[in-house]
Amino acid sequence: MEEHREAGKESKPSSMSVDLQGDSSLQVEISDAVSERDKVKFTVQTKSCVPHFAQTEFSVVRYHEEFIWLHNAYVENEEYAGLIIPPAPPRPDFEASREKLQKLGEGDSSITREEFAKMKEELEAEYLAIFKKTVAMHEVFLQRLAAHPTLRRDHNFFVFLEYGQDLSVRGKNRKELLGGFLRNIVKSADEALITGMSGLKEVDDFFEHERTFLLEYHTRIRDACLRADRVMHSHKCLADDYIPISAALSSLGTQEVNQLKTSFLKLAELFERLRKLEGRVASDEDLKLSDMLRYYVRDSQAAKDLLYRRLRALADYENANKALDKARTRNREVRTAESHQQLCCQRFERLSDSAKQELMDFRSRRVSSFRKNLMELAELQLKHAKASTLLLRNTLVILKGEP
Amino acid sequence: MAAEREPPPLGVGKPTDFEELEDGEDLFTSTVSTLESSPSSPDPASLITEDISTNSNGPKPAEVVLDDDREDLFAEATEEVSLDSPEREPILSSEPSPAVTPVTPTTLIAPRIESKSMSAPVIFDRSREEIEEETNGDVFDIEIGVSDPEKVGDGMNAYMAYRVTTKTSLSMFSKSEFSVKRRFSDFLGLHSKLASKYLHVGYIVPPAPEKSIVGMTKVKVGKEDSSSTEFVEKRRAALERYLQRTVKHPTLLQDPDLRQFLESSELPRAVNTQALSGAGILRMVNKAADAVNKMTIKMNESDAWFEEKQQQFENLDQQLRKLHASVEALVCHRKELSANTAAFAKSAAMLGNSEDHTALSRALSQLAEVEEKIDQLHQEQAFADFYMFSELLSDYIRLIAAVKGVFDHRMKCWQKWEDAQITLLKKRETEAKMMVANKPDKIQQAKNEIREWEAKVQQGERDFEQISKTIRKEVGRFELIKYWEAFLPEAKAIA
Repeated sequence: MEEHREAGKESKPSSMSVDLQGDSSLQVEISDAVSERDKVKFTVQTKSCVPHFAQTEFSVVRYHEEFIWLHNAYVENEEYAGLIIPPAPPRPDFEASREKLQKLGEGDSSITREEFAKMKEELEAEYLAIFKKTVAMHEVFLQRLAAHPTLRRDHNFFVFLEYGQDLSVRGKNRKELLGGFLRNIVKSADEALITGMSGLKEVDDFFEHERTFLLEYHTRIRDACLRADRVMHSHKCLADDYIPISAALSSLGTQEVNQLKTSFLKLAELFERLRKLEGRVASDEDLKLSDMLRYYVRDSQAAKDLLYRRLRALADYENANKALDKARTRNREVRTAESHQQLCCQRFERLSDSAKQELMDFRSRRVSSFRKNLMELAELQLKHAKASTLLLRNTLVILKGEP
Repeated sequence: MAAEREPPPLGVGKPTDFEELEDGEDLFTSTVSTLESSPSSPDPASLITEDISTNSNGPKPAEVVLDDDREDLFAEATEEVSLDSPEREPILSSEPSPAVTPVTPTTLIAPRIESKSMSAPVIFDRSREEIEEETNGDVFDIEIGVSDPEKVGDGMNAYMAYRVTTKTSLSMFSKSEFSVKRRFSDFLGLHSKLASKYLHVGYIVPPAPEKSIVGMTKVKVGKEDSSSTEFVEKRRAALERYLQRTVKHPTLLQDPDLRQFLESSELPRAVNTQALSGAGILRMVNKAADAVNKMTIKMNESDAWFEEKQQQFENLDQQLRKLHASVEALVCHRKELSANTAAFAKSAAMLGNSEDHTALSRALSQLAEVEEKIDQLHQEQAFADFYMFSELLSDYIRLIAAVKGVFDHRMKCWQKWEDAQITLLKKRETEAKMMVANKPDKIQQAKNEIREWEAKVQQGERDFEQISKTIRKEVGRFELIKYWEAFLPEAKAIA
């Protein structure tokens, strides 16, 4: 497996414009990344003036599993129940392009050497793009954590950033995975139950509204993301199609003589350039649109999780109230029931407040990110469209001018 | 060169001979013999009569004989005759007067080395400039359009009738604009007639569009969906291109069957183009036999030009096929792209609906609209790609198949020649044996046979030469036309 070196920030496509308003006392970035066999090694660099750290600048090497561990640590931490935990970065997945590269390598005798070289080049570019994307995702995850006033102060986070040695985090084994899976099922069942409970009234309109909105939004954005992916895939196929056409045309051109020859060669060139343009269109679409949509799918899922937790807390609160009433009537264990109820109440209120804040943040984040990406998408598409019309027009002039 | 010789004083009777011999077409009766020859010898003239009397409608190797003979005679002639002038067709006036003086002074009656229009019994008045234009493959004065497909009839007997409109300023047609209704099997019938007449003389007859049972059945059954309309459109365009190619060919243009096809309102139903008819099966058997033959005939290619050309055509064929396959893939993917874009547009619209931030919501719905327009555009482009590029390519692939067919005929011709020679040899041997055995009557018989076979050998040889020449000419024309045809639709498609 070849090694791809990331040269730092400038090569990052920064498709996710996460609005980081945190102060700059803690800056995290992934300065380097290397892909070896099937693991990707990230070099996480931190610049900070937080007194907790021993140095002001330091860096460590982390693997993907360690990111996941960090994420889980946050999720399972009760303290952060009222916050939207930034979604974990997806596993680096080079399978698809590795397969394609292999298939190409196995060879197809009907394609010429130039075609082969071009396709190989395309595949390599694709591989590189995937690599860059995964680096970006990991980085965004860390940066969001660093920017969040509460999350950044987590002990695990510090360990993650600083601890020089291997964190020896093993991937979840089968049992844990299964456990996780079951937990998810329980969670969604629970959610359904809670919402169905007649006694539970949503006191706050804001939250009611947000819930309905989020539910709907989540499904729709997931849908849109899927379809955007398909569009991008078709575009790529189209661009790839131009390769054999251009090759065939140029071989035809070399066969013919004089005018027909130059026409054919010109056409071959045209298709070659069109291919590059189409390829760029496809990748831009991918970056700006699909990636953004994908990220927000995950983010909205995290927001939904938050709402669920709050709901759970509300249910607990209600239950505690009932228990207190019951205890009061029986006049037994009133103290414990009271304190329990107090706890629940506090928890619930805490959650509600922070959830409100978080959700509003989520919304503004989302809006600005969409805006930035859509603008960039439109500009790029315009640029490409203009370039391709120019190209076509020029070729047309040349072809017509010839005879 | 202006006319160098005065037309020989052929008797007025001669033209009438010709008139009788032509078939019943009215237009033919106005023709006068072109075969004015050198005034020095009346022999050619008599030869002419003789040979023409054995002619019938169809390829005339005999006329070829005529040519060559005249050529020989001219070589001896004391007059200056330009034997090497570029192919000029002997001119016939198209006036209905059976006058002997055929032409305007600007035309030259020269022996034609190429029998470009010899195979047609009729040759028309053309000025020299027109001939030059024709050989350059330039614009003809005839336009053909195929339009208005309509469904006629019902159920399994239904068929699509197309209107064939011709606009022309050529004098051989009775009107300058006319149109007729034809159905697909009529086109196929025309093609098979032309093929049977010209293919084995070495002309490249443009291939007709293929029959498609599935497509036609769908149309017949009356399914009004996009695939059947697409099919009809495809067929209409292919028929138009076919007719245009056919009329571009100067020889085929003068064929009476073609004219009948274009002009007459009722055409006898071409029954043997039906897929499952007896003739169809016969054709398939023939094709199989041909394929086997091709493998067994090994021709001693003495002419490097042919070998080179054949090689070129093989290469061209392969490349065109590859290109065609890639273009089909392109069209397919583009269609996919447009479908996916449409789906995405819908979900973007829905997303915009659920978004509560108004500006963003508006932006998203506009995105949806844009995507929809893009989808339409892609669809259009897919169609354009398909009709222009892909169909053109498949046409060319078929044309090249026809060219290869012509080459094959040439091989067959050669084969016949060889066979004739061998038989001649055998007959001579028999004769020798007879001589030895001293059987007078058998000798006579043998001598007769020998003469017969000698004639056949000579015929075979001439056929072969003929076909070679014709093929050369045709290939030259083909390449030129190909260039023009390929270039224009390309440019349009890109735009």
